[in-house]
Amino acid sequence: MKTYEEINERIGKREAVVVTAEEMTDIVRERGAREAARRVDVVTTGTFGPMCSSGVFLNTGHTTPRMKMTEATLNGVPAYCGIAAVDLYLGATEIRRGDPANESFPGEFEYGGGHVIEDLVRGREVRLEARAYGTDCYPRRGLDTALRLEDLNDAILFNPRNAYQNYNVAVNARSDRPIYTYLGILRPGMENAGYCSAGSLSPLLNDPHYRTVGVGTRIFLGGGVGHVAFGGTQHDPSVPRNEGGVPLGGAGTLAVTGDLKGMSHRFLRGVSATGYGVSLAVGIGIPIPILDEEMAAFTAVSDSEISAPVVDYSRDYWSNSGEPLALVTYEELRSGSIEIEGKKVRTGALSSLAKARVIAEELKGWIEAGRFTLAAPVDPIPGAGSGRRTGPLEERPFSPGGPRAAIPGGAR
Amino acid sequence: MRVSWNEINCVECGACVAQCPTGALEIDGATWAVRFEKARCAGCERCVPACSYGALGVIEQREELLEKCG
Repeated sequence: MKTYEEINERIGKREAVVVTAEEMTDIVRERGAREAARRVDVVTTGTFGPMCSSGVFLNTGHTTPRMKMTEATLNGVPAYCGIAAVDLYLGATEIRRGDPANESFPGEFEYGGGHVIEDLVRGREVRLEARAYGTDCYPRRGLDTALRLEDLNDAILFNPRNAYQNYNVAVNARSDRPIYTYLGILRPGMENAGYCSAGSLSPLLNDPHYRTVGVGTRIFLGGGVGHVAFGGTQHDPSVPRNEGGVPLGGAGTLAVTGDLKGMSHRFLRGVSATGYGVSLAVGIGIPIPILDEEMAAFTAVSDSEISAPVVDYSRDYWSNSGEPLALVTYEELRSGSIEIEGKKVRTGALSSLAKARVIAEELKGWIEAGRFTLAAPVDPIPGAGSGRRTGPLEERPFSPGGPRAAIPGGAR
Repeated sequence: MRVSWNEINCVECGACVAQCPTGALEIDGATWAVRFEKARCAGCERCVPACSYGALGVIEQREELLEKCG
């Protein structure tokens, strides 16, 4: 058994033994989990791919005279103003005002929120246009200015749902035309399959029961330092798991946050997904402390031990129906093709394993150099025993005189 | 028209690889780096909309000529 304090002391002395999750797989295979736990202090993970539930809180600083922005765009991309006077939230999937979207199908979605975020971290100037209705304390009604990241008081990346623990593999089984999805262009007749995970290098697949990753965990985020803020939206720890505890589909997620000013365009890239929309590709790396033999065994997971469900995105996905067509391993996915219903299907990733490796190596370097210590969670995120489930929306007619149980004290 | 690959924009995800019918776009099984072999490209352009980062584009012959002429 090791403690966070002991590991951090070794990091401080630059004596910590740090390996990537891929290296750990080999170490445990050769020496066993007990010996690996004795030798290794930290395992670094990494992932890089489109993570749509991402965005940034910006504080522009007060204008003269002051203004409470009610509508704002950055390079033509609308930002949310329903918070304090000069705070904005720019979402990664927001498309530029006037973008024809899918009116001419498939739309190109050349620029959006994710691209603005990339432009900011590249140090590029962006155009902020804003309007307001004017109040006695905030009389100004219009603004049109250039600004850079360095001009902002604050730029806090806050991503409500990142680092999905496993995910679907998408195919087009029923449509007779290509379909355009967030998992890529899927050609008819199951010509190809799209997937998006770093597999054995992916953070939550190395800590399947969230023993060490929780609220407050310090992480590599977009090339800078960030933290886990909470369990992410749609966090679903209750999905079926294999005997190693690995979920057999999309399960845990993380809400993460960090200072955009410390981040890099190498690990935050705007995404234009043809026929789908815009997004932001985010690089995340999480250090896993090897507290004991169990954590060593978890971090030894290999691509052959992680399976993902193959889902038909031409119908079953959007209609919330049907069963997965197959379960395939990441080892199979990475081979370039999988077999579904006797058919060889070519595979293509939306996530970059090459970038995920760079992230795991960079984080390893930070820890080895004593620049990055581990933060123990201040609270856990819900695990499989929590009973927490994520389900579809159950629609019902709204009735104004309906149940009032949600209103404290029954007040209206 | 021919397909061009801008290595600087590429994040090496490989989304293009599964779209390429000729094997001109490949991913290295060891490094997971994307490789583009111009000579094998049939110019079908299926890879271009599959790239979300603007790493693949189409160059018209006139532009290609200008590029060659420096």
